[in-house]
Amino acid sequence: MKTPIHDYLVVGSGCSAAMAAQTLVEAGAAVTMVDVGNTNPDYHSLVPQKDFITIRQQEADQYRYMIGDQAEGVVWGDIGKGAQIAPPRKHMLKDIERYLPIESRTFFPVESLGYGGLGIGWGLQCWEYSDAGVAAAGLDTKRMAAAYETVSKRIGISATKDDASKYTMVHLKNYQPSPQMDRNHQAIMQRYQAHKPYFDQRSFTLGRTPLALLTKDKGDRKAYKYNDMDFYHDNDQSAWRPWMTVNKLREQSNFTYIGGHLVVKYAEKRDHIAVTCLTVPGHRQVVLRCRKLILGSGALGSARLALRSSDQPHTQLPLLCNPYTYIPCLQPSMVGKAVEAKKLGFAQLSLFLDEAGNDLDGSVASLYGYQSLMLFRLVGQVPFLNFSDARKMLQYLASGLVIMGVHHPDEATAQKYVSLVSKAGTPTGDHLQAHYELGPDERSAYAAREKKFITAARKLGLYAAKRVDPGYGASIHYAGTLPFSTEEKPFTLDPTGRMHGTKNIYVADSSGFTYLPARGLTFSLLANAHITAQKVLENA
Amino acid sequence: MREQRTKQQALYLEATIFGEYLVGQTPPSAAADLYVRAVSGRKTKPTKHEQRLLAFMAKHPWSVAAIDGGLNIVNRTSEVRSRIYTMFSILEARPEFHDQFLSKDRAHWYIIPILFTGAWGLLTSLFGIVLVKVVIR
Repeated sequence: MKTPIHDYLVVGSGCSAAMAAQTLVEAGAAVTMVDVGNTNPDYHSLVPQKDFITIRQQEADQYRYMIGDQAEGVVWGDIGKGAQIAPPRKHMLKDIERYLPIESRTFFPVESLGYGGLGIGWGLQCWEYSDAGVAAAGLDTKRMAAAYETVSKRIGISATKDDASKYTMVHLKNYQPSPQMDRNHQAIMQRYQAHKPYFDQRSFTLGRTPLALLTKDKGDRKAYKYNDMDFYHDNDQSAWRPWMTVNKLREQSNFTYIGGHLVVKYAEKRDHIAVTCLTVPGHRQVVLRCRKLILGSGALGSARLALRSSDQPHTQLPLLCNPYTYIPCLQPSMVGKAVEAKKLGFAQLSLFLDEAGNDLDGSVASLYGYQSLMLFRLVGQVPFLNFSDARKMLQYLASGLVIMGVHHPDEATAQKYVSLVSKAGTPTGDHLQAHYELGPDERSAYAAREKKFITAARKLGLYAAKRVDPGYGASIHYAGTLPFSTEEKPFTLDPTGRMHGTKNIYVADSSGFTYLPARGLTFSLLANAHITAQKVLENA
Repeated sequence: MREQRTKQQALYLEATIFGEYLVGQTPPSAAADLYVRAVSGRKTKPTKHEQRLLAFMAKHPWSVAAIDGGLNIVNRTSEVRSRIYTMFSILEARPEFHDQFLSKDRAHWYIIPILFTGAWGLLTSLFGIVLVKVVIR
């Protein structure tokens, strides 16, 4: 018996998929979302509506969400992927080694089969790309400006007009005020303002980081309460997560959600697209049929699907990923202070380095305070001392810790690629193989910039303890596997997001980006997903 | 069955010793239970040398600080340190001990005892290197 033909089938439930689906549903289209959609409901109901300090002082059950029922949130050894993911968000990583296997000696990405995808643990930074960045990424500048506005209205963005606005909110008009800065960031901002000519001369600009975080109520989502429990729950829904949009869509009559299905390949037929899925768990093969297929499974996920569905699965596809380094810094003026009752765990300030002055290929550092991730995530990194003495030192120093995460831009080269390799024993019969290597010029340029960031940080009252290279892939900013192209070539997208060689298969995630500016891509991939959905409707 | 029980008893003893070492108090039974669950569920097992170190620490709790510090220099990813680290995390997530982990307001002169702690800790670790070598010999 043949299954019904869905009008619009959206793959995934992460940022791109949720935003594309919302655009389609709001236009009245009948949309079906197919997704694995792992969740973790047990932990979410455990976390009380209290602030971090009160919880630490009073809650006997805090270990359950702080470190996990089996202490599974305690990761020993070098800080690798998922070390900062608290137990209530661990479902973001569930099953990925089994269903999304990847082999690489040089590239260590994070993917997700969770309900809400990588958006489950997203840091909420909502930087717009500059017009130059939008154009370099292969996107339409006019449509992106309008799309940023639409996305901001949907998800709620808090931002401030300041020196760095030219980098953070190029066109954006619709936003709420930024949250209050904690004392560490207030002190940093004061130092910046006091030494502004120094930073101007060296092409540095500091400003507030726009966040997908409400500071005023928006519908049933509440303004942020500074409870500093952001790593553990989404109570109040102040921070936007894709699952919130998908939950809202599920209340609509023209939207259907099919969970527990891993899309493994597609085939375009005369009057429909056959989409083959595996049920998770169970591995039963199910074929769904649709008229238009919209992939929103991330640059790596969409690359897998495109390769597996083609007759050239071993083709090497390009890969973009922002190189990332983080630099733990000590702010001596804040050392030896009591924990701060009202705080937030997200980035509060961004420091831009734009030496070329073209707002395209500069680098950016995000500044974070350190409190609610607890001392145990740091204590293993303290050299020479035993844990007991290290605890005493850290308890004293922790209030003066600021983490500077530096992102660099990325462009496609022959040394950055993914391909699909057959592998028996995996549910899909294959794994993704990735190679990522910066060229010597890129490496030396980025190392030089990081030194400049460290010098600039000193002027801000921050002293770098060390520079940590978490490996390629750690930025979790992936793109460019199916790049936009005006030429009709396999494994590329036309400007509407339609995959060349197909009639009705579109890619709404960052696979099409032809360049990655340093500032995080999420806001741009949300805007692009909205535009892609609009174009799908225009072509219908 | 008996071997299993002996293993569990050894883990409870470890939990107590590590707890006393880290926060100066016997850990609550819930913390010890979690330690036993966490360590029992692990795939990694201690090597022969690490078993010797664990047995030595169980017999001579005074040695934990030195062995821990020594291992941080000579074998920082050791299973022994991994276990102490697990207990550290468990204790940090207990309300009874919040005072020993959350930052407090300190006077400027507090830097002096902190520097002393660092210097003493370093000496302890250096002694620990020797102790580790002696125990695993």
